Amino acid sequence: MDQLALNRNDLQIIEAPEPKEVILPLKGLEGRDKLRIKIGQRLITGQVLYPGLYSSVTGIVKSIDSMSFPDDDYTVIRVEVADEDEFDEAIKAEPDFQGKTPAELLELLNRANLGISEDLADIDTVFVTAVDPDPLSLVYQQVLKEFKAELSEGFKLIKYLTSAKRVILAISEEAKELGSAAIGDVADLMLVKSQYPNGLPELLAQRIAEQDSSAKLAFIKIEKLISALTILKEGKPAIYKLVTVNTKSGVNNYRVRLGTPIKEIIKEDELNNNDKIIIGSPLRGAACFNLETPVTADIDLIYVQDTDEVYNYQNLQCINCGKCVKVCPVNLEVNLICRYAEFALFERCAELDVNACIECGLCAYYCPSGRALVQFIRLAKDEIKQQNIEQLLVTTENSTEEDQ
Amino acid sequence: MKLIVSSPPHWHAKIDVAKIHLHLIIALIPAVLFSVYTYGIHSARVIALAVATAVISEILIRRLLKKPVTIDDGSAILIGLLFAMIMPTSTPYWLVVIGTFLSIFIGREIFGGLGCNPMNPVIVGWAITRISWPNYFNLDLASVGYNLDFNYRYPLALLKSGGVDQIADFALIDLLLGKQVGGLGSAAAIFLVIGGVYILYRGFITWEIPLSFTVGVLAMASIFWLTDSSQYANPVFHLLTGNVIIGIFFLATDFSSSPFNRWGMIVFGLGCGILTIILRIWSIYPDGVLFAILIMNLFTPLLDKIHKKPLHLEIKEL
Repeated sequence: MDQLALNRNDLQIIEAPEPKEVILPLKGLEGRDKLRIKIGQRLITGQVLYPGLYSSVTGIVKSIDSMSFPDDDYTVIRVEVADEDEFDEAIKAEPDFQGKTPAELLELLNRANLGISEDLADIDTVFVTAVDPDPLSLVYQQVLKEFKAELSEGFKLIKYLTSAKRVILAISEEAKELGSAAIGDVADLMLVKSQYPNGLPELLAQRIAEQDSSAKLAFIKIEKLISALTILKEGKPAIYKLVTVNTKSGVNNYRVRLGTPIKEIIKEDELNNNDKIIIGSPLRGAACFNLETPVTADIDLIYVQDTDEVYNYQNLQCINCGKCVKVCPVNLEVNLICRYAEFALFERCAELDVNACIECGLCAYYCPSGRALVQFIRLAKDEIKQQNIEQLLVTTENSTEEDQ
Repeated sequence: MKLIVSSPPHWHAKIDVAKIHLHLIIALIPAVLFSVYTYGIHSARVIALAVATAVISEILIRRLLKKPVTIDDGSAILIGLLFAMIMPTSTPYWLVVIGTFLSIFIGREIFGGLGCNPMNPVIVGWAITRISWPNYFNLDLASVGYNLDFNYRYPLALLKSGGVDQIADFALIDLLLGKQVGGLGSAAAIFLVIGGVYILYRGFITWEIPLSFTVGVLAMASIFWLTDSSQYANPVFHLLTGNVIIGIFFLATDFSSSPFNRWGMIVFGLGCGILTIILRIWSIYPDGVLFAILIMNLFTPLLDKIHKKPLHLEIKEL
């Protein structure tokens, strides 16, 4: 069986049990001094904790401390969950969205914890990704199946919100009939082959750009779009996330409260020593080192890899077979880039457009020498970024000296 | 609870260098068996000696250079085997040893080992011995003493010395079935094609170089043949004789010395094919395949520049 095929499965959504405690991270936000809460305070669902951070539960703040995530350390707020939800009155239903201006609508959606980009100017084409981008992920197709009737309303919402002229629904080839029924005359259909990496948004964008190079593109995940509709219809904040959980005991799609720690979804008796828990795709995701890591809106898949299946990447010599170049979806000369990175020749990596890499992981997946190619590319990108900053610093210092 | 943590990707296709080389060796087995069947113990002698020398040379050189010994990746075995395949059956033992040693040492190790060689190591070893001891490469003499059921003259030498009339009695089907004199394994055309199609089908090599090499040979030979068929040989004759088939599938496709970009590979293959015919017609050597590949190897860094620039797209998520 082809490991990289995008899976298809007819699952039912399982409502995960409500958590006893949730962990809300201040991801990408700085300073806990601006927090509008203190320990022991009672929170209600949807309450503003910080500009851009909202409570996903009703409960008591237990502690405010810091926690390590795969990318960085963040301040986290632990909330002990009460039995009954009490919703923040500030969020109101708006079933007829055309009664408000797009700016008001955006403010309302973000007040309801949707997290849509504030910068919606200068977009003329939006595509909705309804194809699962990664192997093992089953979330997008599940949402498509459950909410196909509401999609055309969603397309109208996008057009209204962004003033885009064209909306495209990206869908797997197998779901073609479902898609053509859903788009009506509001959107166009784009069929995607069910094979990684075809479903990645970057590659969908590339396909659209090849047809229409002047298109100003943006995309939205289908789940987020449906959440937006639900907010407008029900007047309640977005507090759930659909997650595919792939463990040794089976595959399930759970509807999980945002902030639920992973240990409440994956029980410890399902895990063995030296297993790997991967948050996100088996090719792009990060390995989790803390079972308290909370579910956030960007997590589609949690995959428990058995210790026998863990592959150790090494750093053997490149044999120049060229497989990485052939499989690279953005056409990079991976073999050269990685050897330059290995010998710290980062300017040459930049000349070979290393920054165009979307880190899909296919090069390393196929490398017969088992080289850690993605790590080399990340190293090169990081070094280039730092050197650029240093160069900028040097030039500004020089100019200030001249000014004096 | 202990968890393993690492950077992505977390999967691997589970193909390693040793597996690729193992399958390339498996693909050569039909031709090896045919050769041993035709020439008996002498063929087996050259093959065994070459493989053993290649492996021992690698161990010695790597020990001397204080590098890890990597014979378990199978590449030394492959080099030894391929070197034997393009040598005559009658090659004396010392020449096999010298040639294989040079393949490993000059061809590969002094450049840094597997993956670093700018030219095909097998052909480097062959070329040095071919130029230094030309008398041992007389393929007509190689078949003396055998009771062969086919024309025991080397077709390309006949073409070179006597012109197109001399090769009239070589039926193309016999050439295809390996009923011809040549390198001990490289004459077994159909068996090499079977092996070549196997490695192509399994994806260990790609189609670009074999196809463009074939097209290059056929096209260039056709140009001469169509101009004057009384002076120049049939294109299919050129394709089936000498080292062309082994070159197409096993020598030109050497990873390190051939381009890795698609159009580079196609130009590389066409160049090999065209040069093969030019050398066959105008050089002093009856067969030009190996020199053609060697020359094209030198163009590889240049051909690798044929590459479409990556598209860098910034994409906004709502």
